[in-house]
Amino acid sequence: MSSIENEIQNSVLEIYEDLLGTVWAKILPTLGTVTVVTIVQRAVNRTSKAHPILIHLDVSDSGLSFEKIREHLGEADRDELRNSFKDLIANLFDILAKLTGNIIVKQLIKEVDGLALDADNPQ
Amino acid sequence: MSKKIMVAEDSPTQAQRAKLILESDGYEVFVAEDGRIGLEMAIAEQPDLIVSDIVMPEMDGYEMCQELKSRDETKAIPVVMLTTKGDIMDIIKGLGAGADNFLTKPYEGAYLLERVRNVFENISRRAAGALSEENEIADFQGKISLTTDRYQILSLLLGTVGVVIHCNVMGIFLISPGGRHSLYLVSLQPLNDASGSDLTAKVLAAANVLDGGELTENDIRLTKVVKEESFPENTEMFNSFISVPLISGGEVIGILTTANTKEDAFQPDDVKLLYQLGLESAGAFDRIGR
Repeated sequence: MSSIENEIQNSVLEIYEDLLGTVWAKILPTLGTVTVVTIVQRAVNRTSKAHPILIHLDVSDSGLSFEKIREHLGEADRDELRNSFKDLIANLFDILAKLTGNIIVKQLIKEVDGLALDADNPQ
Repeated sequence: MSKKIMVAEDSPTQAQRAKLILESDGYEVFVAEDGRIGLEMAIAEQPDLIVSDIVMPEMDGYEMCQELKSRDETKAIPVVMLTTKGDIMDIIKGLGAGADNFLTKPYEGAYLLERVRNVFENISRRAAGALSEENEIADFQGKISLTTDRYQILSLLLGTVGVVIHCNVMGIFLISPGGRHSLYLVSLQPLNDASGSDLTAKVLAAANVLDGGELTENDIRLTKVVKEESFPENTEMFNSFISVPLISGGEVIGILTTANTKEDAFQPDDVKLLYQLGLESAGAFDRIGR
């Protein structure tokens, strides 16, 4: 993998790390750690069936860890990486919507809208 | 031999009242003036049941209950906690502390005696292996298959949650490993078939999204619990809902869904409250059996 490709992939990763970090921080006070870990883990499991790169994403009480996924960047190109995270967020929002109607998701969409646009155009 | 009951209550008047009520039904009663003394007395005296207030000096009722439930020698003693009417936090904390049953204050003497008798009856029937889903039918108006403990908790959840976040129905789905899953539709008024199916679908959608399965109505044992049979039947669909995963020991053991026929009936604070309740009540459902 070229260093430019690697740089782009890292940029994509950083943006989604921020985005998911924001989502995590926003839902944590309402849903609590145990529930957030469970829901995010379900979203990761569900999405990783189509995007195996995500099995390297660790979910714990302290949040999402991207360390292992950085070590395995060679397993997916930038488009696949971007699509993986887009689908992960879509699945996460789908789970939240099925659990809480639109109450949480409406708030989240407002918060993450700008960040999601950045993710489509990494530097 | 008469059953021994400990009353943990710091108010001498209240303690004396509870003692007299219980003694009138033939129980042997002793009083602990606070939670710390209650803990010591329970360990030494091994009562058959404890009735405990919440606010007490030295050690409160939650802490005492938690301590009792964490010790091998006292964890089997049932604890009936006296809660404040409409205070959802009392129930949340009580469930978290391991309370087996609740009684709302102020209470009539007859209610206290009825609750105590029910707890003892359930213990004897469980010990005799007679308390199965099928033969519990007579316990609640001859209509539904619920243990008194389970009915009490479902009813209290609906009562307290309903008051605080304006819902009059709840669906509680409990996963039964290796068996048929249960779904309790608990409502203030009877539900017609369409509204019952609507609520069932919402609970199952939440269960499926978390479980990754494809559960349908055929996969569950459905029990309807109606608090006021005389109320008019609800024929409307539910336009607002919140579903909460019930997580116990890191495992999703079920889903709790509350619903309202109005649109946008719930606020983010309601979600927060319900998620807290879900976490605490999961332990209670795990204890009383799924």
